[in-house]
Amino acid sequence: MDNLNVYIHAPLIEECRKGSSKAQFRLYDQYSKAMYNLAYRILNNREDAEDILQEAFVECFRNIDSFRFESTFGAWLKKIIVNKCLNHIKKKKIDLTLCETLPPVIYEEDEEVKYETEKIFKSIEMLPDGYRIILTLYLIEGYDHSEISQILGITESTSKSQYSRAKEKLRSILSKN
Amino acid sequence: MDKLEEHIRQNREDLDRYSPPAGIWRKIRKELKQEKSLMRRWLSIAAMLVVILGTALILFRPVYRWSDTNNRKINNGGFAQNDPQLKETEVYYNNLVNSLYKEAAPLLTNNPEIKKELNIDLSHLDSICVDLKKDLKDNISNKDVVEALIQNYRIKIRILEDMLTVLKDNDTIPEKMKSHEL
Repeated sequence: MDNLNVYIHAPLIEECRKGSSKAQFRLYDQYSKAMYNLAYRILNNREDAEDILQEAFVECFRNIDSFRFESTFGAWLKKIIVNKCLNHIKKKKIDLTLCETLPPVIYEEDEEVKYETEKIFKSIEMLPDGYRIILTLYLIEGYDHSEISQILGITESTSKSQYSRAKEKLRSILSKN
Repeated sequence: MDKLEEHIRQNREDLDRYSPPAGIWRKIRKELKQEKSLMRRWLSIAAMLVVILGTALILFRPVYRWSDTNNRKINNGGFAQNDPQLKETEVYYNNLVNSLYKEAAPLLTNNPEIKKELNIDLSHLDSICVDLKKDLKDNISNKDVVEALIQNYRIKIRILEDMLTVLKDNDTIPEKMKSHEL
C-alpha cells in the first residue's frame, strides 16, 4: 500500500480522535455517498442501506482510536460497511448459495456490443443476492478473489466460478432488456 | 478483462447514483453526542461517589481505632450486626437493586462500554459495603455505619435509575426520528 495514500487523512483522523465534529463531518461528506451505494448494492434495499451507513459511521468514529493506518481510511470504512451488510444478510437468513464450485463460464463476447451504464445499473439490481454481492465486491469495489474468499467464508475457486456465473447472468439480463 | 468488465470499471463512478438522505448525519451526531454525555454523566457520578464514600471511610476508621481500645459498646445507635430491622432493610434494598439491574440488563447488551463501567462502579460499591459490614461487627458508632450502608444502597439505586432513564431514551429516539423522516 502506498504510504502517501494511507496517511492522506491523517490530520483529519487526529482531529476526529479529539472528538471534532467538523473533522467527522468532512470524512462523512467525502465517503458517505460511496459507502451508501456500496451498502445498497449489497443489500438491494435503500432503507437497510441507510441503517447500515448510520451504524457504520457511528462505529467508525467510536473506534477511530483503533485505526492504525495499516490501510487507507476508505478501505477501513469499506470493510466495516461490508461486514455490517453481511451480518445483516445473515440475520435476515438470506441464502446466498455460494457453496457450489462450478466450472467458470467461458463466453465469446460479441465485438459489436455496446453497453449502457444505466442498463447495467438496472440489471445489477435484478441479479440474485449471491451473484450481485460477488460481482459488487470483485468488479465494482476491486477486492480480489482471495480477499472475497475471506470476507464471504468461501474458497477462492468458488469465488472465481461464482463471479464468472454472476457476470454471465448479468449479460443475459442485459440482452433481454 | 472483457468489454463488460472494462465498461463497468471505466464508468464506476456513474454506478453510485444514490445520495444518502440528509438526515443521516444528524442521526450519527446525535448518537455520538448522547453516548458522550452519558459517559460524562457517568464519570461525574462515579467521581462524586468516590469522594462521598472515601470521606465516610476516613471518618469511620479513626473512631473505630480510638474506640477499640476504650469501650466497644459505646454509641452503637441501637443497631447490632444481626438486627432484624437492619436485615429487613438490606433485603428491601437488595431486591430493589436486583430488579433495577434486571430491567437494565437487556438495554445494556447493546452498550457494552456502559455495562463495563456500571459493573466496575457496582463492584466498587459492593466492596465498600463489605467494609461497612466489617465495621458493624465492631459494634461501634453503628448508627453512622448503618446510615452509610443505606447511603451506599441509595447511590446504587440512583445510578441504576439514572442509567435506565438515559438508556430508555436512547432506545426510543431512533424510532421517533424514523417516523419523522418517513
